[in-house]
Parts: sequence; structure tokens; C-alpha cells
Amino acid sequence: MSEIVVEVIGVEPPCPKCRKTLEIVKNVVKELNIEDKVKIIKLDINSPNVVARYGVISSPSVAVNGVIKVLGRVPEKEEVIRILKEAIQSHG
Amino acid sequence: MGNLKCFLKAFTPTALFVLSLGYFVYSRLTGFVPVKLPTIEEMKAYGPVLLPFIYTVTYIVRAWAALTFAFLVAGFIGELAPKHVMLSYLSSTRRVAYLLATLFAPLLTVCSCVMIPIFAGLVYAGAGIGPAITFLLAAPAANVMAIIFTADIISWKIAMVRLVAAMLIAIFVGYIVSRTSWARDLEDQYKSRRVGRAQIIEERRSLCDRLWASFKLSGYLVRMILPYVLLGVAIVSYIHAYLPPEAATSYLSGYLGIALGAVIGVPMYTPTLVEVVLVSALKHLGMSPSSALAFLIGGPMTSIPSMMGVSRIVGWKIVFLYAALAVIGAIMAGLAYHFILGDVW
Repeated sequence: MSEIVVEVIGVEPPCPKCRKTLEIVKNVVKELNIEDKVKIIKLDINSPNVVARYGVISSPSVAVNGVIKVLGRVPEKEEVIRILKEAIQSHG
Repeated sequence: MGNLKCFLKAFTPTALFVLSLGYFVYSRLTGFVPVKLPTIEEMKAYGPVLLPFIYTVTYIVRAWAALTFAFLVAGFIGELAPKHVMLSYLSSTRRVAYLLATLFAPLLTVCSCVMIPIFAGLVYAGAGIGPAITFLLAAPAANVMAIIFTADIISWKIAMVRLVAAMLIAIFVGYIVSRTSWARDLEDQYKSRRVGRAQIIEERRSLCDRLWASFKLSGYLVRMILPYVLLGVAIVSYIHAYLPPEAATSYLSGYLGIALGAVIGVPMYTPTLVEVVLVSALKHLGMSPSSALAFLIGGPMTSIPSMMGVSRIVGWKIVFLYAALAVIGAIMAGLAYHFILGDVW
């Protein structure tokens, strides 16, 4: 089974919104009990490498397997659940 | 059931928006003021303990509609503006990039924590340091909330001139910085990088969810900004009551006032919206409108926290250069106001 990579892209040190986003994603993963399938990575939006991969984006953003799903806002919990369920389905 | 929930989610922010806008326009048209600011004698009579409370409460009663309206508009913009489209335009075009940077900056950066990431993105993505600086300067000085609040508390004229002048200065400073050898060295460093364009497939949401999200964003901004505003207003109350008016009339008017106005903002870090309250108090004490304008433009452009963040990306030389140019720009704007409009607020 392939792993799902969720990247939470925010400012470092984290701004309140970025912290909130990371917290929501972590909670959803725990709630859905998919900790073994999902890898959460925290990325610094101000690093050249992140820009090289994603271009100019605004924070906080959430990417799932390299595709940005949420841009520049804190997602709702239900949204994250939907996004993750979809990712798991499409990965079989 | 779902429909009712959806309706309420969309209705709450919209109703508040209409209500605050209605009151805002009504009080403008009729000159209706619920409470007058106390006079300096009254303020001194309250004593130093009571004064900040009375002053702050008076402000809330006077400005609740403008504040509510400003926060709601900021929420709407932050949530409903097509960020994805704007960001891709901003990073792809070169010639009109300056113009786009000024026009999009206030729409993209409702929250200051977005400003430096976009700046860094523009620099690293090789979009050119000029537009990046333009973006950085236009965002705080042409901030939507600050403009609405300025219009309500100080005057429409100052608010509009502040907006337009800030945008022009941002373009001018960005262009000059981009012509220096420091900027060219920096651009060469990132020019050769291959920049990926993110694949963005945003989650689709219903309009009521988006309106509700915008309302939550407004709430977040209120929690972030309002405590500082209230604290700032409390501190301003002392300045208003105890600063001798002669000091304001002699130092904060004429050419000296314009220069001082533009320069004080650099070391003095005033949180968003507080600068407006401060100017309004100084206005009563005799500050000239051109000095006020210089302060309102220079201050937000040269905020120390953002300068520190930016220095990590482009180095201190460029930071000092753009800050100095922004101060010069603020002085020019003050002078222009002085010669064209004079003492009209």
C-alpha cells in the first residue's frame, strides 16, 4: 500500500493560522485512524526549495501527494476528512 | 435542515455587512455622532486611571460600524478573492508585474503572515525583486481595513490620498531597487532556478460555506488585531490628554512635521489601525494633514518586524535601501499634499 504524503506549508516559526492547520490535519488523521498510511510533513513556505516545487503560494496551504488542495486558508475539519478519504480511495 | 444551516451561514455575515455599511453611510450623510470625544479639559479631569477606559469606550461606540465593516470586508476579500489566479499572474508576467503587485497586494494580504511568504516566493521564483518589493510596500500601506478606518476616523480625502500615494511609492521604490547592482546580484542567484508550478486543485465548497469561512476569517482578524487596537487606543488617550498642543503644532506641522511624520514611523512600530487612532488624536492637537499623511504612509511601509523577516531573504542592504526610499516617498507625498491641498483634512 502506498503512503499518502500530506504537506502543511506555512511560515516558520509558525503563525497562528499555520499552527491551526497542522493541528486540524493531525487530529483528522488520528480520528480516521490512518496514522500508518499518512505521513504529515511540515514545510517552510519561505524556503527556496518549497518555492521551486510549488511556485508562489500563500500560507497556510495543504498539499496531498504534491497537489495543492487548500491554498492560503485554514481548512475546515470536514474538508480535510473529505480530502484524505478521497486520497486513500484513489490509492486503493 | 441543511438548507436552514446553509442559509444562516450565509445570512449572518451578509446581514452584519449590510447593517454596518448602512450605519456607516447613514452617519456619514447625516453627520450623526453617538458620542463626542471628550475635550482635553474633560480628559484631564477623568484622571489617569479612568481616562484610558472612557477614551476606549468612546472609540468603540463611535467606530463600531467602521470597524465591523472593515473586518467583514477583509474577511470577504481573504476568502473570496481568487488567490490562485492572482498568484499565478503575479509570478508569470514581467512588464505589468509592478502594476499587478500594487493592485493585488491589498487583496492577497489580509493577514500579515501571508505577506513575507509571497514576497519570498516572488524573489525565489525569479519574478524579479522589483515587483516583490512593490508588493511588500503596497500591502500594509494600502491595507483595506486601514483605508476604511482612516476614511471613517480621519477623512475620506486623507484615506484616498494615502491609498493612491502608497501604491505609486511602492511602484517607484520597487523599480529603483531593482536597478541597483545588489538587486541584480540577487536576481542572478535565482534566475537559473527551475521553478515548478504547483498543481492546484482546490477543494470545491458551496457559497454558504465560503461566506461562513469568510466570517470566521473576520473573527480571526478581530482576535488578532483588536486587542492591539484597544491597547493602542488606551495609550493614545494619554498622548491626547497630556501632550501639550504646542508640541504638536510646532513639531508636527509645516516642513518639519512632514519630515518628522515620515521618519517617526520607522522606529515606532504601530500595529495596524492604531496609527489611525494616533493621527486622529494628534489632529485634534494641531498636527497638519500633510504630516499626518507622511506618517500614515511611512509608518506601515517600514515596520520593523517585516523588515527583519525580509532581511533574511534579501539581506539588510536591500532592506535599508527600500526603507530609506519609502521614507523619501512618504515625505514627497506629504509635500505634494501640502502644496496642492494645504491644510484641508
